[in-house]
Amino acid sequence: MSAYSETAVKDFKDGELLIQALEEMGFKPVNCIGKPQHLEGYQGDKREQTADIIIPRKQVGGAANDIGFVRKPDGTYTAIISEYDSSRYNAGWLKKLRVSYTDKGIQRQAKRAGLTAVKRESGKGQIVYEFLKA
Amino acid sequence: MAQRKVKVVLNTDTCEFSVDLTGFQGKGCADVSRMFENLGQVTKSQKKPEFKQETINLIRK
Repeated sequence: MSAYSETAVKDFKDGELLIQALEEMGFKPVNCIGKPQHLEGYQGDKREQTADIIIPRKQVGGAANDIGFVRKPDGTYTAIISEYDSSRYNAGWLKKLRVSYTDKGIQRQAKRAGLTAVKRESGKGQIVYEFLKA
Repeated sequence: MAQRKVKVVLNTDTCEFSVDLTGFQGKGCADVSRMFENLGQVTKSQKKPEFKQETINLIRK
């Protein structure tokens, strides 16, 4: 073994990965990174809040509001979820999103490092990947 | 040269993942580690003997 490290993913730092993770969860998010747009309420009204990545309300559910992700000054993205929608899009949903985000991130970073994927197995509470470097 | 292998285990409860590199030496090892570490905050990092050996060799050169 040459090296071993452990990394915790607590924030969404990469908008591109966040969009890919949302897509994997079945959404078609609107990418307006760098040009934040106002969120829409359930009646189509423009909300005061703006976001860089938006899940349109029709994808969120019946009588739902847009869900947004706004880029903070430190470069991380934070979710804007209305109180009405937060019963469904709760901490559990955000956790699933973070796992999907990290899964996508691991595979992308491996590719960028010139690694070849030889295994990806989902099991009890974990996903195991194996890569080879030519 | 030994086969260079990377094993990553993602804990889907905590969203923490470990990266275990085998057969790598020197800078190549650090570069691959860094690629994964960029995804979050590193909570633990260990360099293994073969990594240190390569570092020493590079300094001697």
